[in-house]
Amino acid sequence: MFKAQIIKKRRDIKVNVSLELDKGSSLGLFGASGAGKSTVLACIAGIEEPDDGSVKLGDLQFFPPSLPLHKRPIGYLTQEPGLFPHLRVSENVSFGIPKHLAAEKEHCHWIETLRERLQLGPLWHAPASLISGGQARRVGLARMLARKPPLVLLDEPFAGLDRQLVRELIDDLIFWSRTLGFSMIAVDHQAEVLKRLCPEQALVLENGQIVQRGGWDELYGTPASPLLQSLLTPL
Amino acid sequence: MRVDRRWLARAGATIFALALLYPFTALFARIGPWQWGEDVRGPALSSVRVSLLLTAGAMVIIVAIGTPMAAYIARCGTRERLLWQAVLLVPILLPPLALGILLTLAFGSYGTVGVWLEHFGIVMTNSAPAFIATQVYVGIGYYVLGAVAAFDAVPLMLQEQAALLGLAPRKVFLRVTLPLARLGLAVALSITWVRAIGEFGAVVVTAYYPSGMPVQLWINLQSFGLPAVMPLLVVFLAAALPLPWLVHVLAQRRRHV
Amino acid sequence: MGSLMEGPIRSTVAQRLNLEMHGRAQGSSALAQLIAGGNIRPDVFIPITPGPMLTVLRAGKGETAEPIAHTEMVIAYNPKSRFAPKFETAANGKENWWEVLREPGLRFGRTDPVTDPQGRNIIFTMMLAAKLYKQPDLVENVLGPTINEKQIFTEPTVQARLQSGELDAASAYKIQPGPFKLPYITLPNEINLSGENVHAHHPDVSLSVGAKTYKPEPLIYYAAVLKDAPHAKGAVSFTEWLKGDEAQAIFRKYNYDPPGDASALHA
Repeated sequence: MFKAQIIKKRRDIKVNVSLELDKGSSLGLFGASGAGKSTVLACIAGIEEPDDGSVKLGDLQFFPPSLPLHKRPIGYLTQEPGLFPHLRVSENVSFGIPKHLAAEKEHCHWIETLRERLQLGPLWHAPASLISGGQARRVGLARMLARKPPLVLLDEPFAGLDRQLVRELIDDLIFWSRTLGFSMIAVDHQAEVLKRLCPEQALVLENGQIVQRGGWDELYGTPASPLLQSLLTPL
Repeated sequence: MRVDRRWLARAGATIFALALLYPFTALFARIGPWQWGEDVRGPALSSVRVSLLLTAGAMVIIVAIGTPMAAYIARCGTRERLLWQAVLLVPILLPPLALGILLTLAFGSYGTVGVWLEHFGIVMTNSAPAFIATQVYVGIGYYVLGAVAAFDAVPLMLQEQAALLGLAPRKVFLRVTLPLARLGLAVALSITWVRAIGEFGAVVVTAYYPSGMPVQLWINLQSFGLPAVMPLLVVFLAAALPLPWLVHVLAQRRRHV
Repeated sequence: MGSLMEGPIRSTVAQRLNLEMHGRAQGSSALAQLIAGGNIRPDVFIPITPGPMLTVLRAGKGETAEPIAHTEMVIAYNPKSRFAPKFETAANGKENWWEVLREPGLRFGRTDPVTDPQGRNIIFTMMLAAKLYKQPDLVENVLGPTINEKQIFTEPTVQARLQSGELDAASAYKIQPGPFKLPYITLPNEINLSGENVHAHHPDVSLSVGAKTYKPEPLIYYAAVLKDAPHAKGAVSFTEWLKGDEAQAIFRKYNYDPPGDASALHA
């Protein structure tokens, strides 16, 4: 069970969001640009520190007091793949695995699976600085999942990719969230992406506050604000 | 008539290079045959050894102390950074002669640290420890300032990612920050080397012996005159130049993201 | 000589001769090499001892040099040194100064005999003292080896260290301790190198260092107008004035002794 209340004052808005997530379920954060969605994720990850509130994953308290980043069992994926340019793709993928686990058969099998499923075979030994943007996103995904984190945070990781790739990556994520059992909080301002990734429920943010909470049918059917309605209407 | 901009720039650059290298035409000045007999050669080569070995020793100390110091400063907030920049600049802004005198007094027999060191038999006058200590004080400010810039250039995002992948801060530093800052650190070190190995004003006060190359140049001038200065000058360039030049060449070739 | 030149000499010359004098103070040997090599072109050169002057004259940079003053070797000491009381007693003639210098733990400073005439002169003084007081190992006891890394510093450093107390005593010319307000011990005329014919009286005293052999030279200051001086006329009137009564009175005030009957130098 993941529970969070994030209160943070940004220069333009005050973010006040509370959410709850059962183990293995997913939640979408939807809203216009600047609504505070990324701030919420950053505060959960620990990259930013909330002014007030609390964040707790099961028995582990992320905040307060602020738990160091390396002790938070989460995965965090953003638009920037953030691969380590001085390492190869294979080294990037195994980066978060402690040495004593890396040699175990079960772990090697898992890395193999990721490699095949995300089609990283041809790139496996390439320096991470030389691969394309789309390839880098896939490597970033593999790197995050290699550790099998119980909570995954996604901040528009598919921006700028072609539809087919986006479709494949979303399907992969859903597949693994079921097989590995991790919870997922995703942020996107494209409704159709978010709906496919987090079909169960969504939170809508406007100016840092939650204006609607519920299933996608509710959102489409009875949008709580004109802004929301316009965001949901196809171009 | 259209003047090709590129050609003009190249001409300007050539003039700059010629002006910069012009002083070396003095090597061909008519001062009589150069002296490189045994009396000149012996002390000259000994001074080359002293300079190369002891400056290398000073570099080891500078890297060992300066690198963690720079890592710390790179993580400081703006206000603390301003303080550190002032602290680092003070010894290197001082005219070298003044620094030499201060070092003499502070590490001499009446300075607090000087007395303590003499207990352990370490004399800080006209000795290798005095030579090395002077070079450390002269150079470390350059290294730390350059190293901070090198660490700053490593994207914060990568360090955050490494932490989120489970690495404790020390491991993040060793496996991400340091490797990515490595070339910037090497350039900072090469600048420090160039500065320290040519140091005269402070070293001539604190450590006249063992004589390094700059002090030996001074001695040669006074006792043998210019014919004994020129060959040592050439030897100085040949000995001191390769390392920093090589570092810069390597830095150009391997440009990371 | 720096403070003398930059102070009263410069202001008097400005008034009296209407000349603007700029001085550059450095070791005589270094300046001689720079002048002989054509690196600097001053109007007048004023070294101590004939050696550096002859270097310049023989390089064709000048024709004659006239003596304008002379000085002698002394031992300067720091009044706050723990050996100061003993030095004071020695200055009053009630103790042997050379015995004080032999005290264990006493730190003595001198300059580089390879490059500096004063560095060689203190060794000559000690050699002559060894003969005078019949102390054969005096040089070894007080100075150690010719190149003694514990004692040798550049001239400004010796003065700085003596002032700060890092050194208890140092070799000096009589004219040096005054501006720094440091006391000194005068040495007997037989050994203080004030006479013109030290070498004639002691042909056995010589020093080999830095691939050359040196004999004691009189501590006489010479002045020469240099060839191709940019301000030849002013240079000539300046050097003439230095020999006159007014300049000599100023020299006296600063503890410089008259040139006596020392002879001029020629190329």
